[in-house]
Parts: sequence; structure tokens; C-alpha cells
Amino acid sequence: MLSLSWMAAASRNAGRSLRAPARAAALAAACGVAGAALAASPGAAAAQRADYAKCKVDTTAEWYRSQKEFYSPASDTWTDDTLRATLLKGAGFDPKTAFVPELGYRLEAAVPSGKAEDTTALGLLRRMSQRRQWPSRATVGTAGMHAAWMIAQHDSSLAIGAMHRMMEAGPGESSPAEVAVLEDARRVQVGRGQIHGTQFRKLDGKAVLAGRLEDSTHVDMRRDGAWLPPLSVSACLATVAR
Amino acid sequence: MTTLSRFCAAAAMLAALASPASAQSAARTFDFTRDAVGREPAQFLPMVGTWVVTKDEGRNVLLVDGRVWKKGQPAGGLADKARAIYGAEHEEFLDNVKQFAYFPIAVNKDVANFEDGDLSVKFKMIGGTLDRCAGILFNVKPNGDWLTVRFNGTEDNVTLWKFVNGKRSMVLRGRKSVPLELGTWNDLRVTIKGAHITAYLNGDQMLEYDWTDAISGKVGLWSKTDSMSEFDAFSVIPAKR
Repeated sequence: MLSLSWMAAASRNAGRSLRAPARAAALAAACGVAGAALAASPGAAAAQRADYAKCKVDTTAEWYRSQKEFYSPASDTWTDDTLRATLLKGAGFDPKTAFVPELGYRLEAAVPSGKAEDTTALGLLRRMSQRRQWPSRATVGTAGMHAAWMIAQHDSSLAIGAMHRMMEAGPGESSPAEVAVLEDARRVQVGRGQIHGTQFRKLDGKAVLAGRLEDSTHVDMRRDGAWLPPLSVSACLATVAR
Repeated sequence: MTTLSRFCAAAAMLAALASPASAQSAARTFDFTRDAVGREPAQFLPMVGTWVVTKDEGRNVLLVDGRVWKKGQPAGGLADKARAIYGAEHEEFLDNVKQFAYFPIAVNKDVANFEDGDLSVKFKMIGGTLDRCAGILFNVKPNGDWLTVRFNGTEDNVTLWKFVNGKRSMVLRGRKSVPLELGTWNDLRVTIKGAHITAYLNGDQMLEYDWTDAISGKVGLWSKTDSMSEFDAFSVIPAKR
């Protein structure tokens, strides 16, 4: 496991891998992947449902269905057990947990930058990235790919490599929602405008975009293409994130 | 329709469009003011991908919409499946199966044959997660071979690509890194003199290259995978003789 305290924040099942469910829920919520963590207790599940209702999260929409289909256990096949197991362990991710969508927001305080502490999985991914390689969907399955993405986004240099490898792999080989989050984070980091509007900061209790947004006219079109909910939905969820 | 059959159909369409090599056209600029919004453009033949006329700030422009294209993508894990079947030779298989479908193209119907002169287009990137491309297609042959000079907003560069015998490969990458803002109009231009190709972005020279033969063939617009790009004012100016 990565030793960084925020590692579990980006996990789809963050709450199940932490001893403090409440903190895990807060961290996961700050990272737009709140479902499983919040669902760890009946009260939290009710809060999640309330947030979804308040922010008009449409679970019948194309973006939601596309993500759910991509991460369906039926399509999660792989050939390299060892690599997959290493990635899942490194990310603290259990693919048996229920589907939790990428909700398209990150709160600035929850998004680290810099170099993460080395681990088996992180070192392995760094070596792969240096050779312009990345775990493929066929090799480690969708869960293994998701685990690799979770690990990568906590190391700024590896995140760039991961983003490019995921882009190069082409459609169907990675989740565009995950690529979109990585690219926005990278752009904010180097002072460029976001293009999907996934990076937020809190200002007087309300979530506002971190930095500027390029071409705001078409942002929801881009989000649609990236399997993300409309910006207004993500902004609402970021605001109510606990 | 399978990818291979689409390739064959497209090649047949290109053959049908082919005209005598000597038919160098007069100077023309193609816009979309007379086209119906939501329909394919009248002056271009979309052969791969979804190309529709749309409104942008009150003006008709041509949109290549990669969101729609993605639904026709090859099966997931294709690279690994091909490797499992063909081993080291899987790349060739992969190229032939999927490369054509990866690159939306729209061929101009009215330019019979373009040799020497200038090709230019205004483009605006508006989206795409894996790619944000806009390119000028030229040297389009009846067998489906083509060349393109394109800008890619995920790489911030201009590159010359070739597509020969169903296989795409890079010819030359421009050295300059040019980050462009989404939602802004930019000018891409290609100048042809015999086999010599020069490409410009917003007036700055990005690359030049000598192709193997003198350039001749159909022309058009080019994109890649999930790119969402708008095009306007596609200009074809043959050199004076």
C-alpha cells in the first residue's frame, strides 16, 4: 500500500480499506468517488442519496451507463494475474466492491502533487512508463487499469506518463473519465486552463473551479465525450462534499 | 459494416471520385453557409467518422464529432488479441484492421485533382479526451492512400502523416510546441510544390518535407478518434502556371 494518507481518497472503495470510515468518506467525497465509502454505513448511504438527489445525478444518463458498462465485472478479463494483483494491492482496491462512478470533481486540497513514496506497484509502473508502456486492459483487466490510474495520479511525473499512455492506447482501452481528470490536474499544475472542469477549490463553502476553464461554451460536450456528468452536477457535488 | 468492409467501400468511393490527373482545379474557398445544420456537408464526402454542419456563433461550420464515432470503434483489447494470434506480426494485422477507422476523413467533392499550390483551413478544437486533432488531407489516391498535415492539441504539434496500403505512419513531426486554446480559431496551411511540402500554423512554418513523388490527388479534411473539431473556410489555391 502507498503510505500516503490520501491514497485511499481516490479509491473507488476507499472506505473499505481504511480503519476510519468517516475520514475515508470525507476524503473520497473530496475526490468525486464517494459512493462506496459513503455507502459503508446506512447513514452515509442516505447522505449519498440525498447528495445525488440535490445535485440531480442522473444514473440513467449516457455518461453513467458508459462508465458502468466499462467497469462491468463481465468485461473485466485479464491475462496477467501477478501484475493485476500487484496493482490492486498497491492501490488498496478491491474489484468486488459495487460500481462507483467517477463524478468528475477533485477538490484542490485532496489532490497532491510531487513524488509519492516508492512501493512495489509504484516502482513497477514507473519502470513501465519509462519504457513507454502501461498496463493494458487485456493484461490486467479494467480493475487492474483502474488501480494503476489510482496509483499514478498521486505522483506528478508518473501521472503525465500514465495520461499519455492511456491516450495512446486508444478508445475502449481506458476510461476517458480517468484521462480527463488526469489531464485537468496536469493543466492546473502547469498553469494552463482546464478543459473538462474537474478541478475545484472551496471558496466560502462553495466549490469553484481551480484556475480558468478553456472554451466554457463546449465544456459539457467534452464532459459528455469523457463519460462525465454535466459541470453543474459536478460543481454541486463538490460543494456538498463533506 | 465491419471495419475492413468500410475500408473497401471507402476505397471504392475514392476510386469513383478519381478524375484525370491533369484536372487541376481553380482557386476556391469552401464554407458551409448554404448547408443545412445537422446534415452532412454538400461539398465534402465524409468517408470515415461523423461530419455534420453545425452553428458556431451564428455561423455554419463543419464539425467532426468524435463522440459519435466512438460507438463504431474496434473491439476492446484489440492489440493484445492480435498479438495473441499473430505474435510479432500483430502490428500489421492491427494496422489493417483498425487504422482506417481511427481516422475520420471528409474528401472534397469538387476539387478533381490538386498538385501545386496552397491548401488551408480554419479550425477550432472544441473537445476530445484521447485526441484533439484537425488536419488537411491531400494526395488522396483511389486505393485509399493519403497524406495529412495535422495539429494535435494533446501533443501541441504539427505533424505530417502518411497512410499507405492501409497502414498509417509518421513522416515528420514539427519541432515547435504550440499550445493552442480550445475554442479559438486557428489557421493550418500546406504549400505544395512538386514533391515539396511545407506546413504552417497561424502563419508560422512548422515543417517541410520532400515526398517520394510529386503530390497529386483529392483533398479534404482529417481528424482522429474522439476529436471534436470545427472547420471553416477550406481554401484550395492552385499555383499559377
